[in-house]
Amino acid sequence: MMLSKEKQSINAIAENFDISRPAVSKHIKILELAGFIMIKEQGRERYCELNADGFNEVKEWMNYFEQYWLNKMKSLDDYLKKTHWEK
Amino acid sequence: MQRYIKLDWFYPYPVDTIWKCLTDPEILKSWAGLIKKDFKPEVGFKWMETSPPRPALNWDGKMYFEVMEVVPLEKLVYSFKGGPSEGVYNLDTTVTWTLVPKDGGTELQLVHGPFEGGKMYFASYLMEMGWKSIYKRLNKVVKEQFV
Repeated sequence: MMLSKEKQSINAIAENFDISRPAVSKHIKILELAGFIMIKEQGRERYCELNADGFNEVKEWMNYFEQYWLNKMKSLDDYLKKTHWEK
Repeated sequence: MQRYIKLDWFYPYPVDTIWKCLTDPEILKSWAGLIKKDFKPEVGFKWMETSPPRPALNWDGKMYFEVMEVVPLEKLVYSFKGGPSEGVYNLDTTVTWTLVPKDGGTELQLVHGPFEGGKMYFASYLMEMGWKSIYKRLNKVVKEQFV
């Protein structure tokens, strides 16, 4: 995965591929128009960032299941205390 | 881009007690809500649980489990899948319970994952829009750009 939390300049990204710089630009433009990445200009360079929405989904899944498992583990704790298992 | 949920909980009870709680079908009914089917700590055992659906996550709330590994008194591993409808999964993960004897009790460790970013987003995006829509959209963009 080329893009992660940090934004990457298009030049830096292009260095990783064997196709021409203009071809990389074209692909990036398509991804941007399709809504997967955002392009921002900073000084002389243009930077790509992943569109956060898709990755917030991961956070949501994880938040949901973290709570789900904590509830289960607490439930086990309560059950053990209630039924007086030998320690 | 993979992430895992990692949780620990200490129980002041011996490892075999905690193992029993994780694998005995009658006991599981009492604390884990596993009531629809009698659990069997055997590789290949499958069961399903239902939660309220979460449309925002493209999930109908159904959880499909299958036991993958059993190491008595040490480890219990099962797969945990879910998605927008039966047979379609955008959540494909593994749950690992590990029991560690500690301080006269048991530390119960849980690892759940991997929760993958790009793949899951893409999978749910595709399922939401349908292949046709995505193709149409990309096609339109490509035409505008290159014609």
